[in-house]
Amino acid sequence: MPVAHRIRLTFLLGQALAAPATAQVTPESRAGVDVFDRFAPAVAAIRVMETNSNAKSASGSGFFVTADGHLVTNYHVIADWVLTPARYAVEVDFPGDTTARAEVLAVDVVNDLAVLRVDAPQRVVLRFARAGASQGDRLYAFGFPGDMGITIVEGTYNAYVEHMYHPRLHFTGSLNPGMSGGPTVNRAGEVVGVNVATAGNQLSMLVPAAHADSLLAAVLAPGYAPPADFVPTIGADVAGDRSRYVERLLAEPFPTVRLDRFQVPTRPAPFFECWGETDTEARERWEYLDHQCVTDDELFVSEDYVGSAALVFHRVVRSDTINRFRFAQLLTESFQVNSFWTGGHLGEVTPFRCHRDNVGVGGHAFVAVLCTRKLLRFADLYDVVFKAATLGVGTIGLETTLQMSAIQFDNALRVMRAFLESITWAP
Amino acid sequence: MGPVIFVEVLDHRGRVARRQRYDTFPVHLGRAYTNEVILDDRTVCPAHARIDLREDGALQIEDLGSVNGMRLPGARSRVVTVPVATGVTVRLGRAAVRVCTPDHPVPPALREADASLTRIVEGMSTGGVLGVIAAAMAVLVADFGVSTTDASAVTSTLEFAFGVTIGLGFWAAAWATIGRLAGRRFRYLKHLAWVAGGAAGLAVLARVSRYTDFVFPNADGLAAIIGIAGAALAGTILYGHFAIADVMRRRTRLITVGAVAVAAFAASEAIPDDPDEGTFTDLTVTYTIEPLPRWMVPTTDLADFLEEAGAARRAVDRLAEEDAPSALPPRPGEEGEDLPQ
Repeated sequence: MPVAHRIRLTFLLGQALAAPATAQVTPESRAGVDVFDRFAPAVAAIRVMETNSNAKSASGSGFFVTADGHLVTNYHVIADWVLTPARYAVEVDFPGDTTARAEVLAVDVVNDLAVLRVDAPQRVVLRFARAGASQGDRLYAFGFPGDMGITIVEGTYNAYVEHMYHPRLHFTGSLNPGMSGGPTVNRAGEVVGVNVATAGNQLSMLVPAAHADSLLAAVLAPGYAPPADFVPTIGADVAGDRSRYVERLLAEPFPTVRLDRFQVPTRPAPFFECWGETDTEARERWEYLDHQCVTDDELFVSEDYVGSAALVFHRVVRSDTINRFRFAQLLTESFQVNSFWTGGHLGEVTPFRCHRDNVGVGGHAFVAVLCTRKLLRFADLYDVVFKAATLGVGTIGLETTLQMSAIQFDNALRVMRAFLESITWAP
Repeated sequence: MGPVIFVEVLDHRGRVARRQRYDTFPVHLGRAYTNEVILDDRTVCPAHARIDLREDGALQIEDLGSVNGMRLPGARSRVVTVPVATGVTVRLGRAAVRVCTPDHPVPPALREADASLTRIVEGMSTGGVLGVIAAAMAVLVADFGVSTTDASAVTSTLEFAFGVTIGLGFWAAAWATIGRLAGRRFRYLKHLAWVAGGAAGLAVLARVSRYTDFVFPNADGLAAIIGIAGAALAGTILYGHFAIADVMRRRTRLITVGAVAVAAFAASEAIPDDPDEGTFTDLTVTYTIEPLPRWMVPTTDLADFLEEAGAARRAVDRLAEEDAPSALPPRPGEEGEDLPQ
């Protein structure tokens, strides 16, 4: 597998074993001081405590949105509790040096949000911005990075991150682990987005406030009761999200790109980014043409399973000088090793199991392998890897891989079918 | 005409080394050159025994007071006289002698197809043996060399040839030594030819197996047949070494090979399949791609393939049922795979 040129998102989750954060830049404008003075009291530190050892397993930030003590934070901050409530407890620190246990009321895995409540009335609460911000606006992010205490980070609003399926706002400012779930507000103290992830030096992402607003509205609706177990609702949320995702992928035929004599599917949807690479070494007598499409979306399900929805990888192997036996061996070596990006281990997923056959599609023949593993926590969600290699084309071969995670099996088959059917070549 | 006997001197395996007819008596047996039957073994006295007529006209073998005495085969105690009946065998020291009379029964002739492996091997000339070794090595080296994708195919093929030569050479030497220790002949080249031929056969069978698996990936029966053929070939190689080394009787060899096969099978069944076969993040697919032409490979419909792929799904569904999510997942940071940061 070639080196991925993608930016790996870092979730702003402060952890017991995380490296210490770097110092924050303190704002010098009066506006910043003013925003801090007025709105910092609404920002709380959130910790997930492991009840056996009474030590924290995760920490992040949140902010109060009702006088009744409702807070908004990210799902991934309290994921440990949600997945294994018996072993953890959620605690909130808020102004007045108070610590209280919090109850988790609602969870939105797809947008990485959660609504909590502490049984303590709050004086200072934040409202969600109704009007959209403009690119270039000054924004102020709050949170508790590392063990540094309440921090304000001033930065710039840069509209939506392009090419993401789950909409995220691009905030140019240094967010650090521990600031997850904290608010990013405009000068009037209205929440524009919720801190969720960073992709490196001052590239930060926020969940648009509208999603938090609707989650809160659902909680505050009369007759709302939190489920006894959130895990099935998470499974249902992810399943629903993936179904919509697949419909989006299949809405139109895949665009194709030419690799040597093969036309292969690329950029299944606008939120994919594609890279190509040619690998020829002077001493080797063959060359690889690689083409890869990935999506920057990551869905945080648990600490050990961060789902990247889909990945497409093509490799054309060609040689003018080696014999067919060697070429077949070369294809075999390339075919045999795969890394599945999404992590996962014993307890989260089953091992992979595969099915292999030779398949004819549109007059062409492929070696096809379909491997799958099942997610253990949720009903009916699978990770699926589909690999195919062309048969009988002399000393040039195409190997193609499609990986999809946390998806219904039948949906995966639909995508695979469309994918394979879109591969053609000139004889 | 008086009694006629045939005195047969036997070798250590009980086969007749030399035979002589006698019709005048007494017939003396011993190491000295004054005897009618001269026995070369140092445990035989110069005048060890004699065959002579008794008063009643019957023949007997009589010990002449030798150092190591005369024994019947298998017996510990010495005897002084043994009456001659056709086929009687006596041990004089370490030497063995059999006395037969003209009425000794002989079984009818064997048909040529029953000739044992040993005779085939013994019949091969040195040139034939070297030819077999050369041909087998050529097959093994070609099988490796034609497929290797190492940067320098020539170098790695030469390394392979060297390695194979050393390996087979040691194996053949071990068998030749077993044969020699059992008092047989060394027969190094024949052992080498045998194992080289067998190894070449296994290499060809492995290639056939890969091709068959490629063309018919879901034909478990076919794979099983090839597996059995491979086991049979391995068993034949083992049996052949026993035969060339000339140890054990034919039936014992077969039983030994059978026992080894059963033990190997039992061992492979006893080692439990790793239930976590296939790790969780790095999916290693073991299927090979073979250089067979398109027309040789039957294909299924894409729709059928996707439906049959449900088998993989059902397999993980079963695994999921056995494996409820653990109540206590590891602490964050303990399992080091692919943490988001």
